[in-house]
Amino acid sequence: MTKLSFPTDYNDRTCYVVAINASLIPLVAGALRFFEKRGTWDSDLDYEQGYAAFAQIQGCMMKCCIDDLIASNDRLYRLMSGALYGTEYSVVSTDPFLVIEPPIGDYHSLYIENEESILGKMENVKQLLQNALNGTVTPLYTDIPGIREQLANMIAALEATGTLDDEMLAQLTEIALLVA
Amino acid sequence: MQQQSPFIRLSLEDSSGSAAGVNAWVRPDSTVAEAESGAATLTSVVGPLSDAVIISRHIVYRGAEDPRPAAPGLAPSSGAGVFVFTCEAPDSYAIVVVPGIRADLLGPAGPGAGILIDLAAPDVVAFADLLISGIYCNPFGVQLLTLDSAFYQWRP
Repeated sequence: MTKLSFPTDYNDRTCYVVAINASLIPLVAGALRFFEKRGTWDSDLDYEQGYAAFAQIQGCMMKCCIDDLIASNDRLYRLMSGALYGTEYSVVSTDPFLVIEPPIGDYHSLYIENEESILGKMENVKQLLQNALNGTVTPLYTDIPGIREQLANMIAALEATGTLDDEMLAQLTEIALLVA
Repeated sequence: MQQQSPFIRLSLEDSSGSAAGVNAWVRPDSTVAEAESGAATLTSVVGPLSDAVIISRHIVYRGAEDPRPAAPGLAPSSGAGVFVFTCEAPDSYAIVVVPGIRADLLGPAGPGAGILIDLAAPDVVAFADLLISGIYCNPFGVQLLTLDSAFYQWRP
């Protein structure tokens, strides 16, 4: 039988995730015992490296279930969806399977579900600025007129009455330009 | 467990690659050092007698149950508990296999149900504690450090 040499590029390569049905794990892992034997390998060094590598594989085999990986991925999605859009999730069942609603769709709409979310607060600030500066009526803010129009009105009134000196008029005009 | 006389086995390989052995028993009151010395001497005197070459030697200390008791459970010996230990050197591991692992030591729930060994089971804890605190090492002489993983395998 041909003896094996341990791959020289072992430390340069990355790992693949190989999906194995849990029922087959005992058979697949058991078949690796061949690589734990000195007679499989060409030299003592090959044997020591091969033994360690295949022991490491067996140690990893039962540490990361694909279901666990997907579940952690889903948890990350729900964390981001909740933080960004304010989507609220709830556990509706745990037996026999964990069921959380709403389900994760192929994509997320741009609808902001809660004003306390990150995007909700950003939208709030945007509407506040639009309303305060321009007097734009938004779903959250309806005050009119805006600061820009109020300043223009003040300047016009003061200019008409002639009660404002040139320096104060210049400063008001400067503020009006800043919020323009 | 009754101790039996230790013996030295020399493995010889002929020019075709076939292997055969020489067994020589050692007095039971011999020390390990005496047995090792005897094995080395035996190697030096057997070699000239044969056209085959000595490729390895073993010193075997044996104990045997007599009479042989019945197995306490029905689990087949091929259904093994495989314990993967990390060792004291970096990237160093040890695999210890227990044949016929008891079914009640396998976790009952989750994705590893029926495969993962319950690391909190008292018998498992006692086993792991002994191996990492005693004289035990991997095949390369590196002492066991922690139990990394343990699960059921089919090892016929």
